[in-house]
Amino acid sequence: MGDAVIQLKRVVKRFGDRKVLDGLDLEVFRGETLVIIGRSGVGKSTILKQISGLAVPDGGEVWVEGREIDRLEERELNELRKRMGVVFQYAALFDSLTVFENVAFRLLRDFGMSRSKAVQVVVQKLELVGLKEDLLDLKPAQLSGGMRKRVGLARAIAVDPEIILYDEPTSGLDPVTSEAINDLILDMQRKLKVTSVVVTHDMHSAYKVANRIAMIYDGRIIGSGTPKEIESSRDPTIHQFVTGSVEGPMPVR
Amino acid sequence: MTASIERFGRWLVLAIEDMGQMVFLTLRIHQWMFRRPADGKLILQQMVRIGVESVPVAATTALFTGMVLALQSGYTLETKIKGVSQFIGAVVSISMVRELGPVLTGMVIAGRMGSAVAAEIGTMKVTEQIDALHTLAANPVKYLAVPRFLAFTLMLPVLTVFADLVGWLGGLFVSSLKFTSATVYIDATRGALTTGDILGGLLKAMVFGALIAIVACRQGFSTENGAEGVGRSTTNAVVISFMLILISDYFLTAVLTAFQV
Repeated sequence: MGDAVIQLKRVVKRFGDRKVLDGLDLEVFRGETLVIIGRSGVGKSTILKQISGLAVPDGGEVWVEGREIDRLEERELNELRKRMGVVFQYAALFDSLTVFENVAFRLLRDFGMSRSKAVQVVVQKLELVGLKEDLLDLKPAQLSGGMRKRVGLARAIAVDPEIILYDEPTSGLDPVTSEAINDLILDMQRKLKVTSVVVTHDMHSAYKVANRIAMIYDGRIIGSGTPKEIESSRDPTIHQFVTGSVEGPMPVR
Repeated sequence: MTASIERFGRWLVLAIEDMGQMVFLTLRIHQWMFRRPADGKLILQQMVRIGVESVPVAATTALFTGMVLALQSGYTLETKIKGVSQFIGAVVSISMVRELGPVLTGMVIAGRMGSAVAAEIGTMKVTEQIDALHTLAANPVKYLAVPRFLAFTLMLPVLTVFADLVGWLGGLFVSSLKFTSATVYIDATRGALTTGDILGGLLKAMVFGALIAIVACRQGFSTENGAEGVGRSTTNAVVISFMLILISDYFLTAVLTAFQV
């Protein structure tokens, strides 16, 4: 396999007394789409926060593009973040800004792009996520959940990042929109050679977009492989999860 | 007994930690204030929101404060000290400019805008918008706290000048209606009020503005636990601002009077 763009080495993360990540090891290779699956609240989103530098690990190391995240100065971290797009679970659009201002946020602020040029880029990105330009002047509150999510995706890809982190990209969406988002994730990889990490518990989406699937349980990756390998895994925990069975080693809480 | 001491101890530790966090935020705001981009548009937006849009409520407060001040002092001077109602203009103007103008404007703005800022930033925090800012390489202190800090600190003195004037006019109205003529009221003001009084009051207003901004931003940034947390941050922002305004007012007055201002 190619070179690892993202490496998590023995990462530990605690919330109070609870160890969410407990010596987690993970590698993401250039150009691949890695899907992390696992039950709600097992630390899937926490992994993304470690990679994007939003949270500092309590132990272990997080490396992105050959740099250790929590040793970077804020300026260096921001340079790295310019090559990274994050899609938040509930979109996290800025309420006070319009759709245009949200998507163009970095173009206008960091890249010093003119407004007219930014409009072109934003319209093109909105098209990519299946939205029309008549949304440009609307505020996030005027959009449906699915539209908001797609605007969030457009914002993440506005500056053509090399790495995209998706937090539950299809949760709460209707099947048609979910499928469109799945196609988009695939497109980003095929056309733009983007490295993606997708966190989800939607197995249909996982099988469709993943080159590799890794399952997290009890703060560690308990197994990873191609969608086929995961689907036919003999590991009882993985088997229980992917088949959505009540019976198995994972207790139903 | 032990339990209440323990509770007090825990409260004290939290209060000290809170103060520390606020000092830290103040330092961070100053550190980011002079970095590019200048964010002129954001600052202006906040100045309009915090300053211009607060004019009606600040004016109403000041108007009735000036009026009641004239009524109370006129009544007191006439009935208790007898026949010195020509000093109403001095009493009203000095009280407004040195004390009530800055303090009441501060409280009104803390209630109206300190709460709004805490709720706004708090909501951004719990809906991951603050995280989104980080990932879009925008520092939240720079993007959110600096414009609000500047707007509160610059607009509170402006609102205070306005409140002073409206309060004084309210006093003039009541005084000439019930006690002395307008000329006497104006002459009494002229004789008593100094530039030092005005500048001292504006200095207070500036400090109150800075305090409200820091408290509101700090409460917003530290919001946790969804809607309930936003509610708590909003209440805290107002309560802590009120307390800090009153406490710092005493010490500012002590310093100013020590320098005979």
